[in-house]
This record gives sequence, structure tokens and C-alpha cells, in this order.
Amino acid sequence: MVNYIENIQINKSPISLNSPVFHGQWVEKSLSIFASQSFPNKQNQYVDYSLEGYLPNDGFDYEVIFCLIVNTASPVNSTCYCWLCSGKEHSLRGRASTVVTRVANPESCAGQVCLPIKANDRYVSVYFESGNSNNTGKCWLNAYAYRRIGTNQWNIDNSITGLKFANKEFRFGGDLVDGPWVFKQVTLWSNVTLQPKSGNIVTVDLSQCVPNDGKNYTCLIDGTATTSNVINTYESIRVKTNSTNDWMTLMEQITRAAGTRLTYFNMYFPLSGGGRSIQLKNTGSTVSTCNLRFCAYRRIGNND
Amino acid sequence: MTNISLNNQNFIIGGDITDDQWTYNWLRYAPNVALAAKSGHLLDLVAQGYLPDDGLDYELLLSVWVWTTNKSGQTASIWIYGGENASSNNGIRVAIAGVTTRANSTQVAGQSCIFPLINNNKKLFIYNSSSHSTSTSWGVQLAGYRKINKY
Repeated sequence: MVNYIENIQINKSPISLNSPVFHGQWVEKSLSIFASQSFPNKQNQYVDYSLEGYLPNDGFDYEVIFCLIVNTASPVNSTCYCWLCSGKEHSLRGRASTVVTRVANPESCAGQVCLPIKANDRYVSVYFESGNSNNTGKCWLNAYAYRRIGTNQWNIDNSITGLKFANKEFRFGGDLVDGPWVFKQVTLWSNVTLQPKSGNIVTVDLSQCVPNDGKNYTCLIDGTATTSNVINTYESIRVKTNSTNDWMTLMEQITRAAGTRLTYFNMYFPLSGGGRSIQLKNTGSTVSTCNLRFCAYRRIGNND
Repeated sequence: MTNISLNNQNFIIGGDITDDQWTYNWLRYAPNVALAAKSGHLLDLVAQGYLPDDGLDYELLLSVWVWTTNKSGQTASIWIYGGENASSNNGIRVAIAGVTTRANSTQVAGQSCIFPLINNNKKLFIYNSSSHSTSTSWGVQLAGYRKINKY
């Protein structure tokens, strides 16, 4: 059993427990960082983009959900190995888009990466592990949501906003901190058709996956998408939660040679404001046959 | 001040009640053997020296890449399990990289994921769910991790 702590007073001064020690809530805010940007013409190039104005200038670290979309150059064997990196430091990165041109027409690929962005390095960097010699590959980068990373430090100051202790264990009552990860495999879709040009917007009910308790969660979902076999058509699957009007790209691919194409995608995203559904659509030119599966969730602490 | 006493109950302050900061630590794991159809490969992160054997939960920033063979119509379909193998129904599994070969040329896929490891499990099982083998060029790249709070 733990005890709720609603107020502590020491020497008649209140101590705030909803301090930046804890992670913040997810803020769903969209930003087009760049559009139709050309690839560098050399390999292993980093291009840095400032996030000033997108993230609060408050001295805290943040997690940000990004999506990178790429179109390769046309010549056969034009490669795209693109990563997104945390800051100019470049040392923390995740793969975003990886594909190679095999028929003499551009390929398309997209991927989501969630990255921590440090207070003193408010940049996201695109790492072009492969360049292209004729500079005709293009990419688009968007941000969709962010969340303050708690300091995990209790500091003594004159305003008594926190306390510093050492080597002691503190149990909070209630749901002040984030909960543990809960793994829950639920098949959401099997072979659902998404019509092209947003022909059908499908709502996915997550109430069987996440507790219906009005609290905020972070969720992890994966899926597959298969194109039709019509050459030179493409699929582009977008998703949004119920607390935003902005659609995030989950995947893109183009059929260039006869035969269907398969791709995988995964999505790490907030489920806020008591909402328990997401919507998906296909803005491409051909039908997409999709499978969707819920993987895990984690309650976000009620630290406001 | 090392403790607060309220109603004769002691609350001891400090420790690891919130998630840690991200630790940037790079690991590239590429065993250079094909992943056969319906088979997997175990990556023990403690044995690799990447994570400590401390009984705590972690999140990873994990990337995977995979190349197909050049046989048109064949697929590579990589799932990541948290655990020893693909048979557990209680662990986590994320479908992370999938692609189809067309035009008789190899093709590549690569994605990343925030991947949680809980219940003292610090192993990744990289599984090819396709009925075709991959090429020998595939691997896992870990960029960093963070410890999750002791809830």
C-alpha cells in the first residue's frame, strides 16, 4: 500500500510535487520542418535543422515524434539510407527510410522515429548514409508531438520546489509517475482494404487494448501494408489520433515492377484526453491491404 | 533532510522513481548469416555488455535493416521479440522491417522503434516470419537506452 501525498509542508512552506522531475504530458503539435529537400550528393552527410520555436525554450529535454518521407532518385541502384539523429551531436539516431531504386523510376519510403532532444542541442539532424550523385532524391520531414523529459533530480532551492535526498527510496501514491509498460498483443485488423485518395477513413477502436479510465497513454502499434500489382501506383498510409487534426505518415511505397510490394511500419504515439481510437487513411493512388496489431501501452503520469 | 515523517509513517526520498535520462550507446550487431525462413536469431544484451544485469526495465532506440535475395517475389519480414524465442505469447513483438523483391534485384528495408524490455528480460529475438530466406546482410543497431522507473 502507498499513501497519497497531497501536500507536504516544511517550516510552513509548501513543497510542490508536480515539478519537472517528472515527464510532461504529450503535446500533439505538427510542424513541417522541411519539404522536397534534395539529397546531398555525397555519402555520410548530416544536415541539421533547428527546432527552436517548436519546442519550449525552457531548459528541459524533450522527446519528439518525427516522420521522414523520401523519394529516391530515378537511376537504378540509387540508394536511400536515411536516419534521424538527436541534435547536432548525431550520436543517437534511428533508421527512418531505407530503400533502393531497382526499376528506373523513383521509389518512396517513410518511417517514424521518436527521439530525445536535449535542452542545449535543439536540433534534429537527417543523416544521409547514402548520397545520390545527381541530387534528384527528395525528402520531407515533419514533427508531430513532443513530451518533456523529467529531470529525475530533486534540487534544493529557496522557493522550495523540490527536495534533494540521497540513497533513499520514495514511494508516491496514485498515478503521479508513468506506469509500467504493459504488453498486450491484439489483432486490430486483418487484410483491411484502404481505398486510394482517402476513399475510406477507417476508425480503429482501441478500447479493448487500453484501459477505459480517462487517463493518458503512450501506445505502440505495428502493421503491414501490401500494394496492388499495378505498376507505377503508390500507397501512403496516414494516421491521426482523436486529439489532433494532423495526419502523420506511417508508410509509403511505389509499385515499379510487376507484382505486389510489402512493407512494415510501427507507430509510437500518444493517446490523450480519454480518447481510445485512431483513424487511418490511404492518400495514395492504389488500394492498400493492411494488417494492424496492438503491441503495448504505458500510462502517462498525472503530473499536472 | 533524509526523511519526512507524516502521521508516524516514514517517507524516504530519492531513488529512481522516474525514468532515467537517455544514455547514448551504440551497438551494431550484424552476424553475417542469412535468416532462414521462419527462423530467428537471439541477441543477449547483457552478454553483449550493452545493458547491465540489474533487474530493471529499459527502453531501447532500436533499428533494423534487412536485404532480400534477388529472386523476384520473395519477401523479408523481420519481427523483434523481447525474449528468448518466438513462442511466448506474453512478451512484446514488433513487426519492424518487411519488403518484397521485384525485378529480380535485391531490395532493402529498415525502420526504427522505441522498444521496451521489462521483467528482467534483456534479450532480443530477431525473427524472419517470411517463408523465404533473407540475404546475409541484415542486422540490429542500437543507438541508446534508458532505465524505466521502479514503479
